[in-house]
Amino acid sequence: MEHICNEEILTIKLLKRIDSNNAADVDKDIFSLIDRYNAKSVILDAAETEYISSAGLRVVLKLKKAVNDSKIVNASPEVYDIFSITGFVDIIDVKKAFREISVDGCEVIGKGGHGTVYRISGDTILKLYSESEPLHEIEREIEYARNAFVAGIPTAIPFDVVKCNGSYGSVFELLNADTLGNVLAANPDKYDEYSKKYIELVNTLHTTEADTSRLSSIKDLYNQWADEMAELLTADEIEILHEIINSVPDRNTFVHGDIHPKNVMVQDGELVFIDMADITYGHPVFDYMGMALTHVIAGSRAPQRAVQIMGIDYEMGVKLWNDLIKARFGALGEEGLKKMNGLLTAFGMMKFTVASAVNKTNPKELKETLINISRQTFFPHAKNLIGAVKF
Amino acid sequence: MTIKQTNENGKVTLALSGRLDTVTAPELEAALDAALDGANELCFDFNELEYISSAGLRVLLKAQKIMNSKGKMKITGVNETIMEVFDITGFVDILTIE
Repeated sequence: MEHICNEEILTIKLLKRIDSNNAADVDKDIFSLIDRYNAKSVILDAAETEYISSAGLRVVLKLKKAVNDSKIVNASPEVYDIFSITGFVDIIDVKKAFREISVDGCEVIGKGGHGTVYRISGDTILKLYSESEPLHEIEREIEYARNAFVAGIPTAIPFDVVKCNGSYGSVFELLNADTLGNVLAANPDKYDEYSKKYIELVNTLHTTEADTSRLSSIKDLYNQWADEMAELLTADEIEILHEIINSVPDRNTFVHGDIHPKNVMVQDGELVFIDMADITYGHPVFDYMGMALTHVIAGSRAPQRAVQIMGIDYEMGVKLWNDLIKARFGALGEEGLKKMNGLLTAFGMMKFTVASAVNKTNPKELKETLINISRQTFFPHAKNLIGAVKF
Repeated sequence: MTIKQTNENGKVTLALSGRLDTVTAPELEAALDAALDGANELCFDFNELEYISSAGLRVLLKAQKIMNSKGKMKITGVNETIMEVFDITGFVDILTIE
């Protein structure tokens, strides 16, 4: 059988049919290859396989017992069904082949940094990524979005990862909708109605428990980012970041990572999140610091940035932010609310510090300029943030 | 979408037909609010349902959460298109589909 072995990982191409006529030969071939290469891991590539009988399944079972680190890839829907119905998917990892689809003649409905969005049917869109986007990151976005969706977070249905002209893409439900930013900009008279729904949406996210076994912790992520800043920050500055991050109380609820009116869609009056690539779990302060940055801080330096980021002008962004924190922290009274606003804005500068350094598209000189702003406005008071989150 | 509702000693059956999407999901939500009072079993009959969107799935999720504390819930007569949606979204693991 056709095969290739790299660093003790043996990949074998399975035949078109494996049944009682050839199962014994397949068995012999597989085990002699394992011996020859001293393989520690076996991948059975089922791209060309159309049928597997019980005799074939027994070979797979024997392989799994002999080499635990074994899996089947590229299974067609028919072959996957055989493994699924027989319960084999619980015994061995079986990966389905990606559907191949074409976007010829499909309407382009958006272009972003990561790729192009096509409408591929009446009910679905395809986010087609550039070829440099690694597959595991595309699969991760779908997996995260599915996690949030199943937990009850309003968002588009994440379907599957597909292949298209050698690139990968992910299929989502088509929302018959516009971004909240566009809707608010076009209908400022509807501000009261939509700001209330926006606040409710954010609250739903932050009170919904996440499956922590399948998502990353936002604290782990920030700690990792802090460590990645060794070129730009001193060891002491990095240590302060770690201390602030680690002092934030633990939570199991969802964190979106990038909440603003352009990442929320309005569909028949209902608000739903999009762009779920950065979903994690942890304390909502990590979303509040992002919102302070996008809704207030970014536009305070250059008001046109507010429109670019959120789709609404700086004044409306600030009003939205004030209404958000009033709804969440109004019980603190006027004085307490003012303090909370100051605290969250200071945290917003922490996000500014981390985000400007972590953003891979920022050239080094820009990163240094941004870090200098942090050194003037954030680091002098940064220690006050250690242990400051008490909600 | 139309909803046909029956109630036999706390066993509520909702037979849906047409499309369960953002336009019709609020109707189902309202019907559930009224129907689930005192219910111990909820059955969705999907034989005549053609399509379900994310808004529809969220109503099912909400119904499942309510029924978890009151009794049981199942869905029957799911067509292939909707089954695929349940499959791909992971809803098969949460819902009882017969």
